[in-house]
Amino acid sequence: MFAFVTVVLPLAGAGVIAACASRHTLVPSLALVFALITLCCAVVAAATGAAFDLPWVPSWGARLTLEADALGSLLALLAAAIGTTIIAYSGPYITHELHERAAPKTEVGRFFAFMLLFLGGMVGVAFARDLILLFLFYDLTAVCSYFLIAFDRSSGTARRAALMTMIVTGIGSIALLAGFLISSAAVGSLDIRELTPTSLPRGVKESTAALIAFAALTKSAQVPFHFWLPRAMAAPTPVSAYLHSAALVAVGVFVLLRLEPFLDDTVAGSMLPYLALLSIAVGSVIALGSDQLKQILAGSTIAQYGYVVFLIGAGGEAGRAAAPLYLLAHAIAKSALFLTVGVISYATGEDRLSRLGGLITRMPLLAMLSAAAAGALAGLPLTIGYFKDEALFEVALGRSVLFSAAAVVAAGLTFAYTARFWIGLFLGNVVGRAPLPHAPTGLILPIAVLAIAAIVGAVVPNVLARLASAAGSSTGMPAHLDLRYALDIPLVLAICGYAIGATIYATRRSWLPRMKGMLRLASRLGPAAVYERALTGLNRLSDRAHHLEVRDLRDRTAAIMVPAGALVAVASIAVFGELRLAVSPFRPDHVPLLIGIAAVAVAAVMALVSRTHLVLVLALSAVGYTLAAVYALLRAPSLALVGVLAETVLTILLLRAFTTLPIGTLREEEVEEGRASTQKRRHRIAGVVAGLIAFIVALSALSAPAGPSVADAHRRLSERIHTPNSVSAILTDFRGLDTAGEATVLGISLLALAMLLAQRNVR
Amino acid sequence: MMSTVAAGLVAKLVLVMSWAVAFAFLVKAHAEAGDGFSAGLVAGTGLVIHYLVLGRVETERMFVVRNAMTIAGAGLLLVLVPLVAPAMLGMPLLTHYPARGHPPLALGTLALHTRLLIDVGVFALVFGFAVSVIRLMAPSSEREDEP
Repeated sequence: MFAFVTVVLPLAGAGVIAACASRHTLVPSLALVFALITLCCAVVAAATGAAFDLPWVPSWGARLTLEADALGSLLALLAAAIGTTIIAYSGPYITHELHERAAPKTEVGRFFAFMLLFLGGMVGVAFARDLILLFLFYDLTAVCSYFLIAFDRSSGTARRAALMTMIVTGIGSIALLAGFLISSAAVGSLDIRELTPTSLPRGVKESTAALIAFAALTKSAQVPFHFWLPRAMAAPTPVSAYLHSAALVAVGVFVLLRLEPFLDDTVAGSMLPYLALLSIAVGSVIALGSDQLKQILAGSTIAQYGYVVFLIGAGGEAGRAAAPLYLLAHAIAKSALFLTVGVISYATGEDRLSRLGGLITRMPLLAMLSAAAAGALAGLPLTIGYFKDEALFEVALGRSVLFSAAAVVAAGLTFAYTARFWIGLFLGNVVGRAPLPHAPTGLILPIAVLAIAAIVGAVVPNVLARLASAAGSSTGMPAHLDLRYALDIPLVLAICGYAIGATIYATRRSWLPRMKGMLRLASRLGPAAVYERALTGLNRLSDRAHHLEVRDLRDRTAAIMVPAGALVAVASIAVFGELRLAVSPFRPDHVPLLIGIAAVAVAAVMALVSRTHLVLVLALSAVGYTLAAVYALLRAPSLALVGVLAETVLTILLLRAFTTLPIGTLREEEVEEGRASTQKRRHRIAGVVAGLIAFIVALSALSAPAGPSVADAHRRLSERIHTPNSVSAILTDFRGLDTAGEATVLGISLLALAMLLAQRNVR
Repeated sequence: MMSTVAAGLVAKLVLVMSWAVAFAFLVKAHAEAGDGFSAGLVAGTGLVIHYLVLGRVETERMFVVRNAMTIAGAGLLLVLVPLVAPAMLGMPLLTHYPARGHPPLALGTLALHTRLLIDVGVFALVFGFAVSVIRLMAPSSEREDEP
């Protein structure tokens, strides 16, 4: 039950906040209360291992199944704890930002509603045991991220970044759904527990693994889908601190962890470590070469999630346990650093490393706190980060020398960019204008909480190891990790890493310009450029197709009629031998029918040659009325009734509309068209051909020998449902779905018409 | 508009009669010829004539004319409810009540069952559509659309 409450509470909170968004001073504290209670519920759920199960869509076998297992609890606690911290931080920060932008204060409600919604989505992803449910929460996080990144609606950059995030991760989530459906179809269950790796055929397993890995790589911003993350930095800083360090990007690797049995022993699974190393390289280059503070952190996030993917891909008992530990340590350190950036830009209004420096004298407390976080990111001893690096080395050593070397270099790179970030900000000469006297305590306190967590984690390695081992083994495969301070090979490697990092940092003047050049080149040729080009191309294609269709009424009609006609013609040719064209022998009771048909023909010809709209309308309505009379003669009263009524309304409306047109309009059009007489001839030929084909098809259909008609069954069933009028029975019951569809079309076209005409009236 | 007193009277009478006929079509729909669609068209035609004869101001005094869009929307909703509601209860779409073969509630000779809701919905939708279109086209009629 607590698992359920933990998921529903933030979702409900989002609704409450959206409802009382107008009381903007109340909203931040309300959001904090909701987040805190969610955190408490998550703790209880994690402690009791609470499960919740409810049939949801029984016909699909989808259940509302939530369970707080070790892995899920870890992510849920992480998301709730960091979420609470950041919601506390956002109160003063967002109010300040809205004030700076001169935006209405009620926007606060939108921000916190989406933050809580996102928190609910995260807890849902963590606890979901049903694949469909997992997918829904996965997408909920994506939708929230769209609105949170584009929170500043006036900024085009933010909107474009949000769209890019949505498209890239959205393609991933469609792949995820496809993977889920393929595997669940093969196994016959949507429960994650029942999808054991042995139960899948080879091909299914490979394709599922590829789809899931693809989805996770897009979500966790891994190469070659990493490009959305640096752009997503257009989001408000608390959003980046939450989504782009601890939560949204964590969902990707969480899905990998959750579904690890799928990846075991597959091509996609074995590719992961190499893609991860590539991500570490690319992310490090971004982090080393960028000037904007948030870009540095974004690059670092790409690289750090590369480590996690590496750990998962490298696998083994240690890897399985190390990945959750890494997730935890990184989330704490990185969100604290993002919040630090927020405080600095709050106080100084600057967001570039080159325009900042020597802040330690102005903000000593912030410097100390962020030193703890930076130390944790760089893997220094006495912080939680030390153990994440130790775990990394242990896993790499267990695999191969190449991986070990890569791990050492990666640790060195991390050290280097973290050093560049922290030293550049806090040490050295004072650069730029003097900061405001103090940043509000409300902004410092959350950072302090995270920094303390980073330190405390270092004191209790055994607890961390137990948590990580339990989380790693919750897929049912063995996972084990020992964490301790000891003089062993990982320590030697760590020291090598620090040395490499220090060297890289010390020689920064020689490589920094080259890094910047590389970043510029990458932005022109990299995957981001491919994305832009694909988007532009698709837009152009869509524009062209749209233009082709809507250029004029004739084109639009042709776009539908020509393919349909071609299909019918092909079908007629294919069955040419069996085409039967029979005319039934004449009977006296056919006479009224024939007269009716003759009248229809005369009216139709009239409509063709009419020179004024009035004659045209009357000729067309004569066609309609005569057809209705023919129906009546064929003893189809319902059709006749509808025919007469529709024709009446149509005629009145047409006459009403045409009274506003000048009298000669139709003739003028004719004259204009007359200039292109070859075109006119072509239209006539097309019309005759189409008419002939339609005639042959209709005649042959009517000449086919009459089989048992469905009408008898309709009549019999109509009686059983107390609707003797079988037309009504068909409309409301047998083909009720059609009726609902047509009604919907009618409703939509009314709305469209209202909008079009309203626009005209405005003009 | 030719708003002589006699024409106005006739238009009002036609309106009342058309609505009476529409009502008859609606309630007899499941026993004899006629359905929600025809009823909506008849009722709409009555209003169109009223509109043509008595003009915009006079016609728009009527509640149903002012709220034609709402009526159309409500009609659409009414069509969709019997479609979707059973699915919420775990039954196939469009499961009607009372079930096949069971006796329906009877109001005189009128058999009441959920199929009627669809017809009433179609009636409201078509009527609302027709009236809305006339209203929308009124200021400067250029295009038409079939109700």
